[in-house]
Amino acid sequence: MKVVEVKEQVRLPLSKCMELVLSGLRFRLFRAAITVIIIALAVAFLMTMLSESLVTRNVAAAIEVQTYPRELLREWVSRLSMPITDARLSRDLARIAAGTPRWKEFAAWGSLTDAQLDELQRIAAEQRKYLAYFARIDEGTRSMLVGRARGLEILPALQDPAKFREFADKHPHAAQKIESVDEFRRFLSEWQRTVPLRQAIQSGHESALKALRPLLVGAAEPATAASRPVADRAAADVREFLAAMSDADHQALLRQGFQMSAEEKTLLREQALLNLHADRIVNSLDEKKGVVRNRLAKELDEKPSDVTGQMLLDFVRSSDGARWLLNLTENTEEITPLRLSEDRIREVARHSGEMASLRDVEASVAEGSSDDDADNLLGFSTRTLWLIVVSFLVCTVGIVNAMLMSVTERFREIATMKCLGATDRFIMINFILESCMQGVAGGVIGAALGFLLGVLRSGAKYGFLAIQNLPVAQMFTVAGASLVAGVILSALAAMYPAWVAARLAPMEAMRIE
Amino acid sequence: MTETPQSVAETAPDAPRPGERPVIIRTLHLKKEYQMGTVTTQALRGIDVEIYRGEFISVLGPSGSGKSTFFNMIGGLDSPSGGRVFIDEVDVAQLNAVELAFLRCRKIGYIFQTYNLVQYMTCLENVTVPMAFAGVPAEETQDRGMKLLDLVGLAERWFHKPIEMSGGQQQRTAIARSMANNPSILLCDEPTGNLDLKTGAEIHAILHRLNKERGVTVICATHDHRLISLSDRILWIRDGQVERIANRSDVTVETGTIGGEENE
Ligand SMILES: Nc1ncnc2c1ncn2[C@@H]1O[C@H](COP(=O)(O)OP(=O)(O)OP(=O)(O)O)[C@@H](O)[C@H]1O
Ligand SMILES: [Mg+2]
Repeated sequence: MKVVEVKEQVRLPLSKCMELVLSGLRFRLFRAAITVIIIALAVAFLMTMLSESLVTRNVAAAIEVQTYPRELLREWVSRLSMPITDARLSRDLARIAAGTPRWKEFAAWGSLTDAQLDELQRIAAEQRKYLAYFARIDEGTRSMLVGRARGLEILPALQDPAKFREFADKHPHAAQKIESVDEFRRFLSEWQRTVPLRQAIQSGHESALKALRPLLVGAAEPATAASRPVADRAAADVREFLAAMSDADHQALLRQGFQMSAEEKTLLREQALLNLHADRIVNSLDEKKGVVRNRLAKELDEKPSDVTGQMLLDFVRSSDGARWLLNLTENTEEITPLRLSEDRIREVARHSGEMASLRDVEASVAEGSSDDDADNLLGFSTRTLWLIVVSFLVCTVGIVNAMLMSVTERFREIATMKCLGATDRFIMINFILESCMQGVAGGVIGAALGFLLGVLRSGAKYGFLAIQNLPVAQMFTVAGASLVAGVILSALAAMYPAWVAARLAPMEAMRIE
Repeated sequence: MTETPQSVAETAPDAPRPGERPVIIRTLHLKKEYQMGTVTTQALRGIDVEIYRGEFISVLGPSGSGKSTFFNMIGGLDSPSGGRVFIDEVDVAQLNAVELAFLRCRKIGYIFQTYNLVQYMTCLENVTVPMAFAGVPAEETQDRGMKLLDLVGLAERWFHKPIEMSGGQQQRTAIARSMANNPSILLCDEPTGNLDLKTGAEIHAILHRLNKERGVTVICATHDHRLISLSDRILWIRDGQVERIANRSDVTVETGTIGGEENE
């Protein structure tokens, strides 16, 4: 007969563990709250970075959509007002794909087959690579290798066999090297062989422009056109042409090989008109000794010389401002009347205001994703990805540190519990439950806080655009992910020291500290 | 370890020999070293004792002689550096983690010299924790806990936390806790060191009653002569070794004698 009959200790049901955890948390509320706050801050940091990156990505996409008409106009004005430069042609060739409008245009102007265009495109891609190499090496080395040639001049310069031999001789001494000189030689001869093809495109384009001359030249109002340099005048002519483009004009463009869809035509007309009208408003500033400028300066309480076109545009956004300008231009002798309605003035002003604010945002988006559009993951730039990784590390360190501290300072308690009959399993469950609860609390608070901070920060950066383009669903996904990360990290960071302490004999655990 | 497994088996008989009192705790060459950096302290240097079931034994010894260490070993709270501990003829080293937890929870009650109360729990909760570990339903733990607190005179203070209580009150909480699951063995490390004469006497009475009425084996480290005078046997420890072990009736319990031996 034994008094001490040893059996296995009972397993406490989970509900009982939960009860003990909750009463423990209640009594250590202050300490637990601090741990939760640290977890929340860590998760919030991660979440802020993630949501900001998401918003930036969306804003960039939105800007591209919003500025599309502006870019389209810019493109067409340059295509219709000046010859295609070599650099421009190389860039376009490297980008175009078979069947696209640009491809068809080049085919028409140069009377080229698809195979020829394919070759041109391949060579343009290679050219880009080689020119990038020459742009990368330092000034001294470049002078040594290719003399005074820079950029696109390098390729024709090296066509001279003597020059190339010189280059090949000196090349081994350069710090950075071209992959293979033989390859480069092959490329140069191919490049040279395709020069006529490129020239065919350029001259085809020029004769197309020549054919369109009667339509294009002199369209601009002489009053505004006369005071400007030739290139500007040509651009103004083209804009005027586009703004008033009739179906017949469109047909004439198509006949000359230009590829312009009906939607593009409508967009271009609207955009060109907006531009012209904005110009007309801004130009009124300095007509006839600057009457408008002086009066506006008085209204705004600025020096006349400080008044800008954008100020006038901002001023006429209100109906009062628009009426003010109309009165002034109509009632002052010798000022060309604006010939715009009050509503139109306001519309033009609003549009140019939007574009002006977009320019600021464009700059900060570009800043956020400074590198090329290449090598991106999920649409994030490398820099952003780095930031995300770093903020995840910061988050991990924060949580692990908080949890390690809060568990190690409870080794004595663990030891006491074991003296009183707690099983290792109970201690582990206890700490897992507790850390998960703290992780969930901290994660929820942190995700919400980070969400808010991310929205606020990107709001400050991108303004209204950020709020308009909130990727809400993605942000919730990311918030969920940060929360899960917070909980898992908390649980793991608590489990490790708890496991160490739980395995030891109680008095050994008591002696740590 | 000085013992090979075979020799342990030979020297650890399964049943008490006829005519002898049943042994509840037996130690064989029990050793404990504390390693602190490069310094090794020999806290126990080979202790062989037998403690009988149902006896009241006092452990005496100067400070630092190894009393608390000895208690931790026989209570299954720490692992020896050498030697063996048998509790009711079961080798403690052979028990797995859950069995050890069972032993600590149900069979042995501890009163620690440093109390070891859980700081964030109330007095009552500290007392009911071992019951919760034993799977006792919550309502029952409350009732039993309050009865135990009443027994040590702390019923009105059940909601206080350790830091809000005096040393004596904490000690009484620890005493109440040690009795939570009606253990068969009570290990008391200076159970009345912080109590006034009257409260001390009450605790002595409780321990005495547990011992006599319920047959609980009580092992007490103490300097208190009144407690020593209640005991059946006395064990002297010095420098981690058994100096002497004797029936109380064979020792003249006088302040001078025992006090003198202790303070030598
Ligand atoms: N955690 C520890 N680490 C290192 N040495 C220890 C530790 N605990 C105890 N010791 C040493 O072991 C020896 C015995 O200590 P123990 O606490 O068992 O003495 P004691 O008899 O209980 O003393 P007291 O009457 O003062 O409580 C002492 O020399 C002490 O220094
Ligand atoms: Mg001691």
